[in-house]
Amino acid sequence: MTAERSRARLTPVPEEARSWQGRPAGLVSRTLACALDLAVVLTVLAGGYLVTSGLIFVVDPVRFRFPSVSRQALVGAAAALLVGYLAGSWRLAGRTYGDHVLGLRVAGSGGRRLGWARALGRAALCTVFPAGLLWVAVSPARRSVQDVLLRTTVVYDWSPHSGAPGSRS
Amino acid sequence: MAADLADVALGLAIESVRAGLRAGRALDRLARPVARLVLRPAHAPGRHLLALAETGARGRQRVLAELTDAYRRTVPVVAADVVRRLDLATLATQVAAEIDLPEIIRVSTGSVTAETVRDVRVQAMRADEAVAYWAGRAVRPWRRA
Repeated sequence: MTAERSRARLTPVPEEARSWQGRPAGLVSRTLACALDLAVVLTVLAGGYLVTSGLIFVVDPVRFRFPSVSRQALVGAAAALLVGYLAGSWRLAGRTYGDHVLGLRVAGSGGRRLGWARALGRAALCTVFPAGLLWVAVSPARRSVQDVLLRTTVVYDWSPHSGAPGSRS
Repeated sequence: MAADLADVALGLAIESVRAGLRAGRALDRLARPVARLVLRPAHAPGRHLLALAETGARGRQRVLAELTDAYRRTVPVVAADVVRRLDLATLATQVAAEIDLPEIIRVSTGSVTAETVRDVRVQAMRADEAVAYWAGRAVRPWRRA
């Protein structure tokens, strides 16, 4: 009874969503997750701008003006922040905040968490060519262009503890 | 002649008395236990019964002590073996899985935010299915989705 019996797994996932776990995520979920991640990055950018303005005001309140930022600098900072945020989240947690809210997880081959190189490459591709996400709609395996190029996948995973470095989906 | 008849009668009487005495002694030996039991029921058999009762009580106490000792030695071993064979951790996990513990926790302690997130996830998954279905029909109309 002890050795032969298969051990049941206690999961925090509700019963109605258990059959979805581990399956490739579709376009809507991934788009919503990307939108949330973009909102996070824009919020951080805006916060950084306000903090910088506040420091300038504290240093010289008489001649204070809101600092002007060129479009190229703004886009560059946003892109750099987005790449860093996405790569760091995928490497360290297996998911970004948007993925966490939508119950998604980014996995490499065999369901393992991405390494730094692959996470950075995927983040750069997602930042430079976000339209590659649309390939999910027509791909039978629900893979974006980035997934096809880097052999990654995004799966439904509501469990908060399944993103271990060696875990499999 | 008359004297002879008197002697015979006397002899017969003497023998009759002796035979009666022998018969009485024999009857006394045979009837003595029953007579004692009937005439003094609380005395003669009481000692034997008390002795028997004391023997029985000692035997009963000895057997009870042995049974209690055996019970105390056996029950922990049996209980430990039963607990080991039950695999309580797996049993508890299976029970928790069967009763859908996450749903109970969600209903009892879940916040509005958690419920909203869950609904968003479920709706997004259904939308994913719908998009995949219609995109599949548009891209590969010859294949059944």
